[in-house]
Amino acid sequence: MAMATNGGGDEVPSVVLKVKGQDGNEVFFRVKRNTQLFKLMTAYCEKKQLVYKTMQFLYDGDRITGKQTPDRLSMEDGDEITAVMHVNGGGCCNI
Amino acid sequence: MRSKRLAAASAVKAGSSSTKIETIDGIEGSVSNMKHVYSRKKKIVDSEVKVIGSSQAFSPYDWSKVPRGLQTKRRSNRENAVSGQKKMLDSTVFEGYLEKLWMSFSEDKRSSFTYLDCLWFHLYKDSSYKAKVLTWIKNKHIFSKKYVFVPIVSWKHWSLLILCHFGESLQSESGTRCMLLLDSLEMADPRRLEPDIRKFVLDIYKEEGRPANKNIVYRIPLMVPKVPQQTDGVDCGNFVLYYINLFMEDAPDHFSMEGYPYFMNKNWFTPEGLASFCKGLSSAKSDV
Repeated sequence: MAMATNGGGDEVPSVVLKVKGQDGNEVFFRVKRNTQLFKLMTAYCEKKQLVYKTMQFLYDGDRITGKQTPDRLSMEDGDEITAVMHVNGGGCCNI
Repeated sequence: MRSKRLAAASAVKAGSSSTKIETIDGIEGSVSNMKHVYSRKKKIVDSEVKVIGSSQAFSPYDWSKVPRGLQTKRRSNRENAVSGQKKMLDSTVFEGYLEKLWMSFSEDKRSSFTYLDCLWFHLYKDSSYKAKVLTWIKNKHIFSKKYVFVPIVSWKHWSLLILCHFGESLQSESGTRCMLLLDSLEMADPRRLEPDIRKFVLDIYKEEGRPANKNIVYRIPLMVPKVPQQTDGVDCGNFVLYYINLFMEDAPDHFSMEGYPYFMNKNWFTPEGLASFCKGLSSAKSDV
């Protein structure tokens, strides 16, 4: 319902997404449904002072690629995106 | 404008009841005197993404004043510095390669295998993600597959867990159901992962609503075959990818203890084989 009243003026409806970080904090974004999600992801990184390249964003466990949009992933209001830092692996000298 | 703000705030409340939400027009909010900065930025950059609230106090560092051009430059310098040398695989690159590798197999072949995202096992060990990861795994329907690859990154080291024939009933005594742990660094003692793997598997059974108790699940054999070993401190990610590649090519229809360890021995592949495999992976451009 909230979406309907809000979307009235815009030509593209938007969706409210929650990004939850490893520190447990949540950031909410309003995104147009046809916006490529790298904009959301970079905005999150900038807000949290993280390096985009070191982060991974998961939606229902699947990786979000920058070109995907809320529409393509059928995202709905209040959906949660998990932001995690990626992990490195090499071998003995790193243990 | 005002009604729009209210609408946004109520939409957010629907998503979360516990966190404090602040809604301000522009890209980012909660400090009012910055408002004009953000709304100007909004015109220049884009108005499609807005931070409309956060459960955390606004950070004192004002990133919006850093020109976008500078940020980009800094990032690309960093990339150049890293790409010159042989490097460890991080989970993002690893997953990109794995996806590429996966797609190189025929649909027919892929139907009897599946793999879990390489971050999942890592996240599972974090209690705040555990429940979520188990739901994600449930959606993968791993019990309908013959083999499930579970890449593990732990202590900055990659290894590979393969779940074989988990679709079989736990009570069945014919028992070809087993687990393989392939590790390119034997001296780091792959068995140290066993307690975590056992807990992980038991939780998967529980999540699926399958009759399971500790005694039965903990009796599933976990084998650590002797596989080719890395000779440097960075290669384990590539080894894991190559294990997956070769295992998919050669895996038997029915994995049995009689045939074990099949092809998985010290001479499974040569360093040259691995090198040309890696070359093939990194030459194709990644989408990430």
